[in-house]
Amino acid sequence: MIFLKYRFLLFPLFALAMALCVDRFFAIPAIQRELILWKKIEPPLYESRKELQKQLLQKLPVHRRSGKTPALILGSSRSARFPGDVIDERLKNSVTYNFSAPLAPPSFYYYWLDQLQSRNVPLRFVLIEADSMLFTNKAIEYSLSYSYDTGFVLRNTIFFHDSRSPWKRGEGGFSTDEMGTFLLKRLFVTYRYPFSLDTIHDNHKSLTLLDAKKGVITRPALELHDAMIDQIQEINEKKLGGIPEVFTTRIDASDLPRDALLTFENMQLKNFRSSPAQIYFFKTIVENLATRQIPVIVYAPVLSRELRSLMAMEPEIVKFQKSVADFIDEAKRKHPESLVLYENFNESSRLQCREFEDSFHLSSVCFQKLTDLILNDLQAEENKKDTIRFSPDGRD
Amino acid sequence: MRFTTLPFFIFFIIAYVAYWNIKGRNRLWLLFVSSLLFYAAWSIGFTLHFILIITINYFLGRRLHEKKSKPILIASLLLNFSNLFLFKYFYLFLQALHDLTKNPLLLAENFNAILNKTTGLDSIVLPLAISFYTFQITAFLIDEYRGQIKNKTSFLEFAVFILFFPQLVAGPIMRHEEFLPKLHKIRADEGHISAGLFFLLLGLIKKVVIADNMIAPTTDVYLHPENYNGLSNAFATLGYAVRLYNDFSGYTDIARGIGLLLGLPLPLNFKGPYLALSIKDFWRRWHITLSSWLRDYIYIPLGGNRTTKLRSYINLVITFTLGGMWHGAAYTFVAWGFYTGVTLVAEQSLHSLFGRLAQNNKGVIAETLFAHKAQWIWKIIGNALLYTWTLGLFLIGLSFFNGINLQNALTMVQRIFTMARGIANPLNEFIFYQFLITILFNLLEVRGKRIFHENRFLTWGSLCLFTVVTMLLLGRYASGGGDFIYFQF
Repeated sequence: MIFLKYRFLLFPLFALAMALCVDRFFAIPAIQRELILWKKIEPPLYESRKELQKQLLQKLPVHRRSGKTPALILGSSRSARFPGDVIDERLKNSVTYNFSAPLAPPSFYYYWLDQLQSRNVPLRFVLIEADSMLFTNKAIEYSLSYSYDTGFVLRNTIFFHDSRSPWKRGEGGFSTDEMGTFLLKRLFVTYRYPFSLDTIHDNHKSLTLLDAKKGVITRPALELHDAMIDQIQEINEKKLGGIPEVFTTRIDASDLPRDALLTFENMQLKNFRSSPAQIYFFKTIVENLATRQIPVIVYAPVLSRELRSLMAMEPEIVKFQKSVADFIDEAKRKHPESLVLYENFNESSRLQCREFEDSFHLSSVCFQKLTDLILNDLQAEENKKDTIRFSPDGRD
Repeated sequence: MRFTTLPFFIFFIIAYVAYWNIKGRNRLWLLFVSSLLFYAAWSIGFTLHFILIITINYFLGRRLHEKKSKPILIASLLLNFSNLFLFKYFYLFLQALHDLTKNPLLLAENFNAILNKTTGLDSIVLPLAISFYTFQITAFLIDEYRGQIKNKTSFLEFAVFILFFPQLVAGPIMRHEEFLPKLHKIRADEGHISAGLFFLLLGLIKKVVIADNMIAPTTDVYLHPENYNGLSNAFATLGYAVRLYNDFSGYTDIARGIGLLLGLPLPLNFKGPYLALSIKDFWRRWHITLSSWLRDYIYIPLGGNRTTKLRSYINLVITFTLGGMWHGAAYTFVAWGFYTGVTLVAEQSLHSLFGRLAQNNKGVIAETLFAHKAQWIWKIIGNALLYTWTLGLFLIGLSFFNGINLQNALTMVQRIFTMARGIANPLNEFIFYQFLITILFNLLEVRGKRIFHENRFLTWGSLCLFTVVTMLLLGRYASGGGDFIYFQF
């Protein structure tokens, strides 16, 4: 065998094997803890959704016995504020699980929907987000690193090039590049948890904080990170998902215009290009739920006036928003017996509360009213469908 | 399949192990099949198209080898350039016709609507690598016509020569003598393997760590130059120069690295272009295989410099304008090519002028400028001026090369020269540091001959360490990545 005769031919493979061994070192939990910047909550949040799913499956028999059906909220940090307990109190027959995660795109929603449907979990309703920010190529970064499984990605990858508009195509999925990136991140730990001396240094800094009870305190940064993980676990157990409020940052209203500009530039809204993969997953979710007659609420997060003005100047965003609205109208026409709601309060006077934590996060104080409006619409539509179904002329 | 993806990584490991475990002609078959698979990963339809092109050209080449026939040469050139024109330049042609006639039917979207109605296709798709393989095939056929290829080439050898996957998509553009003879001399060579691994890793660093992270700092300036100040526009061109060099030379390094790992060294394509002290020297260091192709198959047949000075200048401008068009089907590339030709002509004219001045004033110059003690100062000042001239003119050209349209490109140039007011790009400093790193890579290209130590342990130990460092850098700086720039050509 030539490799025995010329052993140097094996050296590149040996170098690769050595790199993989070094990489495995970074998979040790104690080492990984050093590599995630203490204030970076996205990895634990995304990873906590597995625990949330486990919790849902464990509690499913209990929910069944009490006549409650799980409802899903699948969105980004903007949907994390929906008060599940208020929804369940109002609807009576639901128990709401909030799988929202920061900058989570439609592929992430579809992953969890797929996971639950494959285990025959019945669903009361599903709320998903439709916002241009989540349909960019950037939006998939977190979920590729900290979510999905290999089987899901491979099953939902499109291997051939299709130049048609993604709104018109039937087939779709992750691109081969996205699949390749996912697999690389699974193979190399350092791709998901990059080695950075700056991060390690920052994680060992002592931080000065203001505690409500104890006053000014000093804590190591990593300890705070551990406390954040505890809070995520707590909110999963007690509130069935969502994102702890303590993780939010609030800016002054006077800073909204500047924040809007930064958001517009940093979130790929400027020179916007929608991802065909995310459009496919969005369409698939709506079609899937409409076909199974599970109520689907498509929620367009309320954005600040300043950010909306900037987005209105971007022709591709305007085109995208129209495509979403057109698609939902078409879904309603195609599935008249199903419930497909499009809730966009950005230009509506129905939602008076317009307080913002930043240019793209509506304040939690507005979510009570927002939730009421959405539930009013949901119940009105459900009553309408029931009236049609059980009309006096005997139509069924 | 992009080089920086896991599917390619797995593909290459399998190909490498299989390749060295088989012998003789079977190795060529493996190269042929693996190169076809590589191309088919992009499009099966266009793979069939590519096989047809290769087959037809092979038989035309065979005829030319047997008999020097001008009609066959012309037919083959027409075939290949028609193929290139249809897929690459048709929309530019349509746009030019529309600009002249203002006929709305000649707008691309209207044409595409008709195309869709009649054929179901949305548009004419540009086949991957078409610019590169067209030039490579053309060079082969012309060399056959000129009688420069002594031995008959088999179909398998010709197919491997055109399809060879490491260089297929973005070069280097190979000549027959640089590759075909090597197919029969494939040997396992330790120097090749170690150099191959080194270039592969270096190319990954250049592409993933440097080039991909230069997209964000420059994109918006190119899209909206009118918003940014003159300095930011200038830095954007510098940033694009960093991106372009690292992307393209990174690809070439990966290609050369893979070639070496397979015992098939590929020609050099970059030789420290950002160290050049003249435009002429720059084009001897940048995309060397394209420059030499243009010289041998366009400039010299036009007469080269063996004619009047004016005619040779015209030949130069024509050659570079066509070279610009090769890069892309847009007015900006034509403008860039023309501009590059003009700067070369300007430099040559100035060179002649200063040369004559220097000759006439030798004594004075020697006494004042080159007095012993002052000599090194004048050398530094002189080199600095020449460097600024060379790099500056190249950067201005990049306003066109990467401009979205002529208007934007001209706006950029105008804002640079007038030092216009506007937003300052906060990433200008970042761009500068990346440029310094790029200069180091250029120095490595020029001076890095003795990378490898005679001590085998030291060489392989260093390469193992380099592999680990590369992995850590890729993990830290991988941005999700973009296509290699030259893939679009």
